[in-house]
Amino acid sequence: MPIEFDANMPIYLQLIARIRQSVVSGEMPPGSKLPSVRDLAIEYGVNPNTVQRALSELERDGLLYTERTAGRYITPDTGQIGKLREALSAQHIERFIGQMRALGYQKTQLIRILTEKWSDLDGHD
Amino acid sequence: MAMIEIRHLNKAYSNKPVLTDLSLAIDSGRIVGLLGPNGCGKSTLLKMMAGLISDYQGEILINGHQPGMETKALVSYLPEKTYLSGWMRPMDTFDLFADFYPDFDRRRAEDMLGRFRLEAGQPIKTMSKGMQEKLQLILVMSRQAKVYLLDEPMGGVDPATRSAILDLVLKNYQEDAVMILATHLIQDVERIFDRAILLGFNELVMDDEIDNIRQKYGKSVDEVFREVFKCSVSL
Amino acid sequence: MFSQLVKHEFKATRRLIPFIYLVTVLIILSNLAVRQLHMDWLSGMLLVLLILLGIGEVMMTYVVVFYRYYKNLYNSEGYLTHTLPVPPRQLLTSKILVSFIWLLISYLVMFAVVLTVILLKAEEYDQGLVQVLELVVQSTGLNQASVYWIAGLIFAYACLAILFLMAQIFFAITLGNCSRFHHLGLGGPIVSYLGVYFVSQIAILIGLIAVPLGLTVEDHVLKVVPRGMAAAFFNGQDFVIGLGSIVVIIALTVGLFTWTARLLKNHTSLR
Repeated sequence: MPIEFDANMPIYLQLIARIRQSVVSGEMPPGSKLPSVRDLAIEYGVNPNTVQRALSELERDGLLYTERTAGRYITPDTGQIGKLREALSAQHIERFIGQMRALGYQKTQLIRILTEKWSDLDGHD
Repeated sequence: MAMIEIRHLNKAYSNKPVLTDLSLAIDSGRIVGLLGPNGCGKSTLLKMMAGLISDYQGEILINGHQPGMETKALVSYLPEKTYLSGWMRPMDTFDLFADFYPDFDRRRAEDMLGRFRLEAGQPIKTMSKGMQEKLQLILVMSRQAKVYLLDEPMGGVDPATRSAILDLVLKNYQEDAVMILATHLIQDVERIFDRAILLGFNELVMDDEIDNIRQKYGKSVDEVFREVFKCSVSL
Repeated sequence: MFSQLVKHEFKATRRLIPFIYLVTVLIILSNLAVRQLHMDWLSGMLLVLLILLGIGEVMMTYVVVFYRYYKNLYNSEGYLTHTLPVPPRQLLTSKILVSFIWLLISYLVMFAVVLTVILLKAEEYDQGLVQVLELVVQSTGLNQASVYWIAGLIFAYACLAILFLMAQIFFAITLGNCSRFHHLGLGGPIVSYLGVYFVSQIAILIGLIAVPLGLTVEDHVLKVVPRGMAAAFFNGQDFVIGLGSIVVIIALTVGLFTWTARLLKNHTSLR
C-alpha cells in the first residue's frame, strides 16, 4: 500500500495531519485545487468516506473551502497558512529543544550546531 | 431504506447455529469489512445475500427485495472458490457475463486482463490458482453492480496483487453501491473500510465505524479482533 | 435470457458429446468400408465393436448429460449458475432442451448402427436392407398405414422415455442436494432416485392395469380403444396393450419437472 498509516489512531485524524503538512510545506500551494475525494482515497489507499470526514473538518478550520460546482480548494489566505506553519513547527521545535536539553546542550551550543548542520545539509543538496 | 437490510436472521447447519438473531442495515456508498474467524458465518452470510442459500429464518432485503432474480441482477458476488468451468477461456467468461449482465463493462474487463497480465485465450484449467482468482475478480469488478460481495478476495495472492486488489476496490467505489469484503486478513485492509462488522461464533461481536473503533479502543481493528478472539496469528 | 442459457448450455456440452457420435459414425463407416474391401478377418471384430458402441454411446450420452446437470448446478460451477439473474425455471428448461436434443441424436445414431448391422447381416444372405425391412413389416400382419403409425408411436415413446428418465434423474439430483440431505452426501441423490423409481413403478403398474385406454389390433389395423388391460384380461378379450401407463408416465414427467423447478427456486442451498 502506498502510504503507511499508524494503526492505532483514527485514520481521518492522520489524514488531516498529512494534508496540513502538505499545505504548509507548499506541496499543495495556496489557492490550488484539491484532487477529488475519490482520487485522494485512491492515492492514500483509504476509504472515501474517511477522506470526506477529514476534508469536512479541514473546511471547518478554514484551511479548505468548497466552490459549489467546481470542487475543493486550499485557502489562498497565506496568513492563515503561515499561522498553521507556526503552530505545527512549534510542536516540533518544543520537542526538539526538550530532547537536546536532555542531551545536555545549552542554547548557544545548540544554535551553533544547528547552523553548522544546516549548512552541511545544504552543501549535500 | 438502506440498500441492505437484514432482520432477525437465523441460520443453523444441522442443528448447529451459525447466525443467531442477526440484524444489520448497510447504506449505499459504504465499504464494509465483514470480519471474523473461519467458520463464524461470514461466507454463509454472503452466500445468503447472493441467493445461494434459501433456507434461513428472518429477512434479507437487498434494495427492498428478497434474494432472487431481481437482486441477482444487482449483486456481484465473488466466492472463495473457482466457479468457472475449466475449459473456458477469459474471452468465454466475458461472453457469458456480457450475455447475462447488462451492467458488465467488457472493455474495462479486457483492460484489467492486460494489466494483470492474463491471456484472453488461455483455458482456465491451465491457469494457476492465483491467475484464476484474478480473473474472477476482474469479472466481478467489471460489473456496475449495486452490491459487491467479495469473499476472501486476497486469500491466495501475493502482497503486490493484494495492493492491486485494494486499489481496484477503491477505484470502483460508487456512492450508490455497497461493497462488502469478508476477510480475516484485517491488517492491510482496514483502512479502506468505513465500517467493520465482527462476527463471532454465533454472535455479532461488534458493528461500528473503523475510526470509532480506533478512537474507542486506541487500537487498530486488527488488534481488537485479535484480542477478542485471542488468536496469536492473524492470517 | 432463455436463449442465452440454451446457447451457453450447448457451448459447454458441445466439446465432448459430438465427439462420441463422431467416433461411432467412424466405426459405422469403417464397417461398411471393410465389407466393401472384403477384409473379412477384420469385419467380425469391427461388427462387435459397432454393436458395443451403439449401446455404449447412448449410455455415455446419458452419463455426460446427468453429470453435467449435477456439476453445473451443485458443484463449484453452481456458484456461478445460481447467481445468474434468470428464473430457476429457465435454468431447468434450458438443460432439459439441450439434453433432450443430445439424447435424441444419440438414439438416432444408435438407430443408424442398428440399420448398419441389419445391412451387414443381410448382405451375408444376399439380401438388401430394404428387402429385410419389408419382410419384417409383412410378418406383423399389419397394413401399411399402421406400420407407419407404429414407427411413429415407437419414436414418440422413445422421446417420452428419454424425458421420463431425465425427469427422474434431474429431480433426484436436485432433491438429493437440498440442505436437509446434505449430510448424506452422494447418498442424497441416490436415495432420492430409488424413492422416485419405486413410486413411479407402482404408479405405472396401476396405470397400466386400471386406466381404460388400450392399443389393440383389429382386422390388421392398429386401433386405440377405451379398454384397459385389466378389463380386457377379465373379460377374456383379445390382447390389449394398456396405454394407461403412458398417461401416468406423461403425468409423472410433467410433475417431476415442475417439482424440480420449485425446488430450484425455493430450496437451493449450496455447500
